[in-house]
Amino acid sequence: MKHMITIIQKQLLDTLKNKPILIQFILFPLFSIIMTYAIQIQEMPENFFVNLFATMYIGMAPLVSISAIISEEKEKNTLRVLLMADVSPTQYLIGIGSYVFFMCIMGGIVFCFLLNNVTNIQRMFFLFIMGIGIITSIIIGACIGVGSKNQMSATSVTIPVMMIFSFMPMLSMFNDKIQKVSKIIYSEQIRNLINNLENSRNDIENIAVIIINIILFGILFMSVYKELHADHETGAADNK
Amino acid sequence: MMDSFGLYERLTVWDNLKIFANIYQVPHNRIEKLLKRAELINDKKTVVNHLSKGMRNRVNFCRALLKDMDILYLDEPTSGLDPATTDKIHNLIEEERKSGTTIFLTTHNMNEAQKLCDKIILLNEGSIIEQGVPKEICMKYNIENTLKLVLKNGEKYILQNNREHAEILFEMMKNETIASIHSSEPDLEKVFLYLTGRRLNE
Repeated sequence: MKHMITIIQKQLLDTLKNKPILIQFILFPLFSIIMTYAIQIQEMPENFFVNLFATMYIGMAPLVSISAIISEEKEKNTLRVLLMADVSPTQYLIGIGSYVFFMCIMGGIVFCFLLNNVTNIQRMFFLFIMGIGIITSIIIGACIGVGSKNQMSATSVTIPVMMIFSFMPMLSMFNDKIQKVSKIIYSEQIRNLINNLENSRNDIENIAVIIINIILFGILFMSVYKELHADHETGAADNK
Repeated sequence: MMDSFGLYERLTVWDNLKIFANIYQVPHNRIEKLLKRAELINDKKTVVNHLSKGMRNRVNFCRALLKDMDILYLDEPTSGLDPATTDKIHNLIEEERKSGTTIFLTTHNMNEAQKLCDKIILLNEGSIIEQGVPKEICMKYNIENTLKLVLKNGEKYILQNNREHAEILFEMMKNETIASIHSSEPDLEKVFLYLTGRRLNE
């Protein structure tokens, strides 16, 4: 537990100095604030920009952040130093994941406060759904970060993956064919849930797709994680 | 301590060491003491990115010493450093050695090995080619067994290190004509070259 807290503290120290990551956390909440108050069109659906940017935020910020953090640590050898200092891979990943979750939920709270004409219970549900989406994105980002040798290879995988999960739900609003395909991804289902807050709890299909996504990415993560753990064990065996 | 620094470049010296002090559950005042020993106390708030290679190496060394260890592994601690910084690192290593820590040092610098190590192992292509006390190894490969003399008038002589030439040496010393005497036993570098060079030709 202490090691995880140290990892979180380390990341919090680094947050203001790591501008690319900081931008990820604040960009879409900021866009949302600006667009919500700057653009008022009569026929526009209620909370249009909040829901749009919240969905994009879930598909982008946690995924890009965690893959960048992990791949940078691998490239700069700081991860190896941590593992040799008896921080286990599990402790490291939970620490980093907790940090990214915390920062993204702060963004989620901003979106929450921007919602108009919703009850407090609906706000809580909105935040809960965002939390589920953030966790799913964290798992995917961790797969990429753990599986990549360095930042460049991580970025080359992160960008297309992020485009799919972040932009497809937005594009599906304007294109039926894209909407048919994007139904299978969790971020599209999250968009559906947050767009229909008053009826969301009754939509089993949305929830089922999200759960299946979590399970599949969880399995992918476990297989990639085994590689990191094997490296840790091999490193420990070589050092004896 | 690895040859790659593994330091958080955006964080300060103090923050880098504090992270590992927390992991090792070591009090933070130990960081202060180590930084003073490594002459980095005035740079504790400096971002690692702004440090020279030698300074980063010393930060790396401080991190290795945060926890009291019985055994310390140092992988090329002075690789690529200038002589002044190398000397500082050597002093830190000597201090640790004197405090009772067992140090495993890997290096390509034979002078460093000869200076710092009580015992050495020479490796070539994954195999041990020699091991022992550095001085004894050098004596073992003293095949020439000669004395090189430089006289005050600039003349040079090579005498065999035996009874027959002892008289000549004694006379020169009695006449105070000798400027310097060097024995021919090789240093570790020459021993290594001798051992590996011979094997290359076989």
